[in-house]
Amino acid sequence: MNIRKLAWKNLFRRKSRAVFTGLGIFLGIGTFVALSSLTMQMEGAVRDKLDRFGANILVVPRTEQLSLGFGDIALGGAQVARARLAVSDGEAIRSIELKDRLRSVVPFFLTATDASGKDVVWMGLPAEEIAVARPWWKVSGMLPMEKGEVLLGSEAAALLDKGPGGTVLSGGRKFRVAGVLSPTGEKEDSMVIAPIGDVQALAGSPGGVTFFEIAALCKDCPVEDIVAQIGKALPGARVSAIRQVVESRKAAVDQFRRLGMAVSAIVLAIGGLMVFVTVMGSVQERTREIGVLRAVGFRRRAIVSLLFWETGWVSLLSAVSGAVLGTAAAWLASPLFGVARTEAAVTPAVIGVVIGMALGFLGSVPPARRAAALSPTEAIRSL
Amino acid sequence: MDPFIELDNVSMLYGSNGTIAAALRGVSFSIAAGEYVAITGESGAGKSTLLTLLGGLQVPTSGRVVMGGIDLSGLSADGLADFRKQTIGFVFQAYHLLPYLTARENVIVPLSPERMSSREKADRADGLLETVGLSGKENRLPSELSGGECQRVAIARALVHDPAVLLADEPTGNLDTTTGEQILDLFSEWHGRGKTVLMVTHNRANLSRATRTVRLRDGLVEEDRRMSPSGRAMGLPG
Repeated sequence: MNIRKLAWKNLFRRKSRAVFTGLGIFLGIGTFVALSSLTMQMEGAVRDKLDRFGANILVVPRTEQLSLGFGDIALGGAQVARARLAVSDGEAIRSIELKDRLRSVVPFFLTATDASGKDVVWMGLPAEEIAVARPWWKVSGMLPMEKGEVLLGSEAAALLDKGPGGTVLSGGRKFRVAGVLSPTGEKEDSMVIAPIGDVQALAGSPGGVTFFEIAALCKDCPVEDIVAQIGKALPGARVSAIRQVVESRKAAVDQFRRLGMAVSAIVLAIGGLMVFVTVMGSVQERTREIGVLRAVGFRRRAIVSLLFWETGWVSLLSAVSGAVLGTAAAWLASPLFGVARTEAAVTPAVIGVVIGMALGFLGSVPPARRAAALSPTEAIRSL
Repeated sequence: MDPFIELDNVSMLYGSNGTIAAALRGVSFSIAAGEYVAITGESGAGKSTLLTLLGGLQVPTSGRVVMGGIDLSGLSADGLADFRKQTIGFVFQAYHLLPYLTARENVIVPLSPERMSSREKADRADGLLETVGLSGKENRLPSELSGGECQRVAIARALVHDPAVLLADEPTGNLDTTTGEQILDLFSEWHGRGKTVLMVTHNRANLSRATRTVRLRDGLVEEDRRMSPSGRAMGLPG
């Protein structure tokens, strides 16, 4: 028999009080773990969806601004690329240290040339990458799947008066219209989109690339590091993060996290209050018992230790059961939040147990101090 | 004989709502080691206050309580707790056993904070329970014991630290005459082993066991008599 066992035995004496004390922690930790697990899973899902939504890094050739003029006459200026990009640069990008974070590296080639007698901009990109690079495109017909097929922007289709199954002529070649893009409000609406090899051939620039769009997986968003590493791999290129995309991803994810934290904090505060109230009530109820213990030689520290052990046992049991419940609830509820069920997250459960123990400790500090301060004479009125 | 306990002009005042009441007013007397002292007096005479001062549960408003050469007024709250643990064994009228613990566990309670093996604690408790006649009932809860048996457990608990002084507050107050006599036999037995026994009692029958009676009235010592072995008064001590 020691203080630890004495505390344990007392719990079974006052089962309903122990249950009530633990209920606050149980519900608080259950809610915290459930929300944290869900938030964690939702963060992953949101991040994944946002990462799929578009690129967040752009690589273009480094250019110099040349001003044109003759004497006092200014003739404007021209941008001159110091170096051109090539499809082979894609390999250099994919070989950077953080290459695991690169979800897609898509080369684009732009050229203005004739299409069935009209001047339009042709945009080339690998046919197999179109769905990855522009997942939000809605197409009437099909995406171009192979050489000789094109996708017409809505305005280009109107200009050329072509639809799916039609034919566009350019550079002496015949291109089949696989589909027509629904209006996007972007420049693509006026373009002819085709496999990059076809566009390069039309422009007489085999292997040429106008820019690369890169989608980097944004966990922890080390986008600056990725940008720096690509810049180092391609010294002739200008690499820039599309800040707005990065920030919007962060903001969306942070909102989920903040909501979870706010709800958890409220529930945990209520739980802590429940611990405080019930343990304080317990001290009040056990004034005489505490007096007897003081009379038989318990130091104040021993009384404090007894109460901490009691709350500790309750906190541990209720925090562990709350963590199990929260984890299970998150796992069961995840499909309702549009999140696929994955392995149960251990981290929120472990953090939950630690918080539960801390909550029990903090909630029992004032009652324990009060118990320790009780005069044995006051405590034993019957003497 | 050298005094083991000395009360020197001890006063104890209680105050509430602006009024002050004196429970003890300049009480002085001494008790030698091995005495069996019965403290008597009417309700409100100051008996319980005297017992709490002797037990180190509180310190006097003025004056000194010295026990075994230690001035209790100079001790901190934890110092007093240590003093109680080492020197005093309390027996209460209402036993004050912890209802969720067995007889053995109740006896062990004062040893709970001690760094002793569970076996050693249990052996000591069982030995004491055997001494008080509760062998075989070590695992009974207080609710499964009679009043007399509960008081025996309380006595065993008071003795578990082998204290020099046993303080009892109406230990037979809740018991029938026969059971009360058995409890008093235990006190006498312990007194016979050289322990100092201080007992607050209203019961005249209990006085016959004591070697000395101290009668209080209105916070003062009204009478202090040593008793002959037959229980007859021998006059005031010198």
